[in-house]
Amino acid sequence: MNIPSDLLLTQNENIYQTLIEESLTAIGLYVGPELTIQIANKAMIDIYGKGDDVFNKPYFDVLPELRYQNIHQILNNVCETGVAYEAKEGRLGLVKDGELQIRFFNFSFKPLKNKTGDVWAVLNTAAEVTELVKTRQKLAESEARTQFALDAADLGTWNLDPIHQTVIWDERCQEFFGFKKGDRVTFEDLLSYIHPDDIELVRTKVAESINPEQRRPYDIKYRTIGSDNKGIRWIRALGNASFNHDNVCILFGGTVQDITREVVDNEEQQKLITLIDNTAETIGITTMSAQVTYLNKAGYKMLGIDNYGDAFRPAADYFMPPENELNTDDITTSILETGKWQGERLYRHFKTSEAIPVYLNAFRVEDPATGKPIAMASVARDLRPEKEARLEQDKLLLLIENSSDCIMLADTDNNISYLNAAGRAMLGFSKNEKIFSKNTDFLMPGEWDRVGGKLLKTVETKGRWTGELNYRHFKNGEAIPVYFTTMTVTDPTTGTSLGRAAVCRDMRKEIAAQQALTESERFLQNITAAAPISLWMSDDMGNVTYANHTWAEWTGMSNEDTLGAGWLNALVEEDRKYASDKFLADAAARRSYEVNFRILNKNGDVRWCIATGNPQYDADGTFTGYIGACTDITEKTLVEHQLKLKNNELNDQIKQFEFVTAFMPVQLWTSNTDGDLDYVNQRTLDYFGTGLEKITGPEWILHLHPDDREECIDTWLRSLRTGDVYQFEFRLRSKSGEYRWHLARALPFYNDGKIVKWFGTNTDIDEQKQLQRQKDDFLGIASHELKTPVTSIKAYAQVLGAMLVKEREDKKAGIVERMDAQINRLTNLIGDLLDVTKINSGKIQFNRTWFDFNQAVAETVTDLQHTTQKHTLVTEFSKTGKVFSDKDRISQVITNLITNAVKYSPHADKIIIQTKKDNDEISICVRDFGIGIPPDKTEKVFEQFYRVSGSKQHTFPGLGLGLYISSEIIKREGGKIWVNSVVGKGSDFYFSLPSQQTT
Amino acid sequence: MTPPKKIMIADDDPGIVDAIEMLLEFEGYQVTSTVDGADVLDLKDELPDLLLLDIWMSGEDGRDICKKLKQLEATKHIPVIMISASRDIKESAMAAGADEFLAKPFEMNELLEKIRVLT
Repeated sequence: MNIPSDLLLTQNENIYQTLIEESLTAIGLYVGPELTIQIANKAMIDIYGKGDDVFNKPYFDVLPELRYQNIHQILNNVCETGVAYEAKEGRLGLVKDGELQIRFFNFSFKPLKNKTGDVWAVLNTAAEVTELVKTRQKLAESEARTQFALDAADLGTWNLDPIHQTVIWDERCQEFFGFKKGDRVTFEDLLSYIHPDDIELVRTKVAESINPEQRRPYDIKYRTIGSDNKGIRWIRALGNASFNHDNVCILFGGTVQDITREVVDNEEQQKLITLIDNTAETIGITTMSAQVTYLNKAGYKMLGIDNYGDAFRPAADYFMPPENELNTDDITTSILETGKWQGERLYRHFKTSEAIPVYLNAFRVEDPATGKPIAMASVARDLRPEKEARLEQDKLLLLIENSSDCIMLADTDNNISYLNAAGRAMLGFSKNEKIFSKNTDFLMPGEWDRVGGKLLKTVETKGRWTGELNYRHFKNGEAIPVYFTTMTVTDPTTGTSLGRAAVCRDMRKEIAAQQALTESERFLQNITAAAPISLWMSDDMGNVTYANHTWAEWTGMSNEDTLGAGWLNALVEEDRKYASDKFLADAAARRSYEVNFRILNKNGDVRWCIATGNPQYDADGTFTGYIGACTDITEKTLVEHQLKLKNNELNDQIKQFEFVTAFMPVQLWTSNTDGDLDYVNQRTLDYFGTGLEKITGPEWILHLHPDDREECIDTWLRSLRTGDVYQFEFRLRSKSGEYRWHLARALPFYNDGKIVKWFGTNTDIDEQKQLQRQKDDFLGIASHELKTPVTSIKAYAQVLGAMLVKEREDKKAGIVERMDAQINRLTNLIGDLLDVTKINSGKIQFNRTWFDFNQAVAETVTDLQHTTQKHTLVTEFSKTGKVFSDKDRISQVITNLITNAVKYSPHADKIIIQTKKDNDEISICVRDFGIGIPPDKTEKVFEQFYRVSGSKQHTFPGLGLGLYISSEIIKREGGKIWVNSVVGKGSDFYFSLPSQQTT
Repeated sequence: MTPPKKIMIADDDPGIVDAIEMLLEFEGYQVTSTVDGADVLDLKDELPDLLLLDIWMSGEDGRDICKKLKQLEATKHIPVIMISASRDIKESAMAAGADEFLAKPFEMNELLEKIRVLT
């Protein structure tokens, strides 16, 4: 082929042009700054979608819509930088057929440069991938939608590769099972996240589903345990297995869903149903057309329904016939319109047709979403127990209302809220009268003050109070004694006080009856006591059938002896016939019987009796015998007579007593037990010259000499206290103002072992007192007067003796000495007389000091030894210590004992004097070997003026005062004196003194 | 030779005065006497060395005389022996200021001993 060069060039150009033109890849060349389209093949022109007329036009003039897309910037960059641009699936919006279309291209812009490196043109290639991108987008959208659906359904997906035992999960599954994201999980791993109790189930079910023989659908519920929080979820898993031609499971996949909430909801629902089923009340649900669709167990039981089929029937069938119309019309309407209905209705027992009262609470059930009614429900409470209880209550109330005791209720403020019929009657209220009072208003005035405080306190602490109260009749004010019990009424559930209940028994009748009984008893007693009467009964034949104890006492007859006609034997013989005949005659004539007769009692005394009898008849008028009495009229007379005699005697005695007391030469008085005088005789009044009141009152003491008052009162009070005889000497002032000595004596008078009175006398002893004083004075003066000449004589004798001794007239001096001894005897006798005087007048005085007893004895013995030559005084002392006493007086006693010992042992030559101390006593014994004392005289030797009796009396001189004085001295010094003696052998005289004398 | 001691006897009984006077003179004392107690208080000069004073004198109580003597400056130093028939009043005699006491009838030796001690 011969082709010129231009032609060749042209040919070449044509070839390229054709190549470009025919290339499936769109190609364009844009030249110059305007990017004028120089070349664009068909594919490119199609992309442009603007027709064929594009050449030599600027690019953006052809595609103006691209001017505002990012392609404009890209092209500018390529031109300016010279760097090529390539895009995959670039998104462009191109207008085609007047419509903007989004299209995707793989395209490139390559800059063409001249020798200076400037870009002079841009080569554009492009392949449209719009279909591909859109398809892929659709696919992606589809997947996203699936995932969305799964998400919305809370579903997760999973695939198990049975061959490799691995599991592929979506994220949701991972969440359910608690896997961490990105974990690669085997089937065994999966099982470790399943609740231990469910692992076996999952294993079994999976095995069954992938077993080609079984190919069971996989649908199970199990629990998972989260790895992070150990939380338990309920999962429902669904799955299908795919098998290949060789029956090998190649894929096992499905979904999982979290059903925890449903399970829990289901459980709650189950509980609610159980609750409803087990509630005691009957619960039912009906359709809107009142068709029962549900009834709980209580309903089945109450109504006697055995199965659901029986329960599924119109609600009207559940009620007693007469109420059916009402039920369907009113109740249904009410429920539908107002949403609820409440009230009592009668259900009908399905088997027994028994009417069952119920309290029905029915209501409309609405769809929570739409609020539209979807059903009706009812709750029915069986009213039978309540009705029964109310019936019991009604009975109780009836009982209370009709009680014969007054019963009332009051609130905590004492306002009466109830008062039964008896209470109304008692307090004077009519049947329906309203009571607006407090219960305390019904008490007699002062009653509440008397018991209120105690009542409230007792009720508060013990819950009740019982006692006697006086109520007041509301209308007439009459006092009504009642036996009253009140108690608090508390609410059994809260325990708070609701008020008080009170029961009161009207005691008027009881008190009256008791009084009547007491009176009649007393009356009867008085009768029987005043007139002891023998009572008797007889039969219609005149046989005595009964006689009381009085008859037996009178006659000494036994009951057997009395019965029949035996009673006649007690009568005096002469009276028997008459009494018997009269009785039988009266009995035969049925008339009253009365007869006098005498009876002989068991002592033989005669009594006069009146027997009376009244004929008795039974109900039909038949004579049955007598009831009668027998009265002793003797006794009556006798008692009266004796009483009269007694009274006379007493009067006489009283008169005599008055006479005697009046002339008795003493003052007589009596006093009560308090010591106040309540009687004095006339002589007392005469002495004081005053009225009785001046003596019996407290002024009596003024009649006493002031010096005597205190001691007198002391002595009197002591006697009153001890009951000992009262004796006291005091001076009483006579009406002339002269004090006279009186001896008062009083004795208590006992009655039933108790002192009831004192009887006393005041005897005038003034003269005795004077005489005694004169005697004492006389003796005192006499002894003094005697002592004076004796003293003179002693002085003369002593001087004479001394003179004679001086003149050596020894014999004469001896005579004077004996004279002196006799003077001493005389002195002693005078001393004794004086001592006796002092002892008798109580004037003996003791000058007590502490002295050594043995020493005092020894001194006395030494002195006495000088007076006797014949007797030797032998002393045998033990240690005695000191004694507190009058040394002179004790020496006097010792002297007396030793002198006596010498005197009464004329044929002996020895006297033994012993002393000793035993415990708190010092004692001395003076022993002689003389004539002794007979046993019956050993006590008498210490008496005043006692002297040894018998033939020897005259031979022993003395006044007989020595031992008496000794005895009195020792006694007054608190000691004892005694003697042991044997006649013919001698005597032992003792005395002892307390060594601890403190006075 | 010392002059004889002067003893005064006051007793209303002349027998006692006579006997005691005789006894004391026999024993060598110079004796004055009175039967009137009041005389004792009139003593001015020739005061005795010792006074024997009877308590129970007619019209006078020896204890009153003794008390007065013991209060007078001139006579209070004179020893007094009081004499009584009753020994029970010894205490009151001593309380009246007596230096010694003797109950009648007394032993003469006892009297002499007491006089000897006091003069």
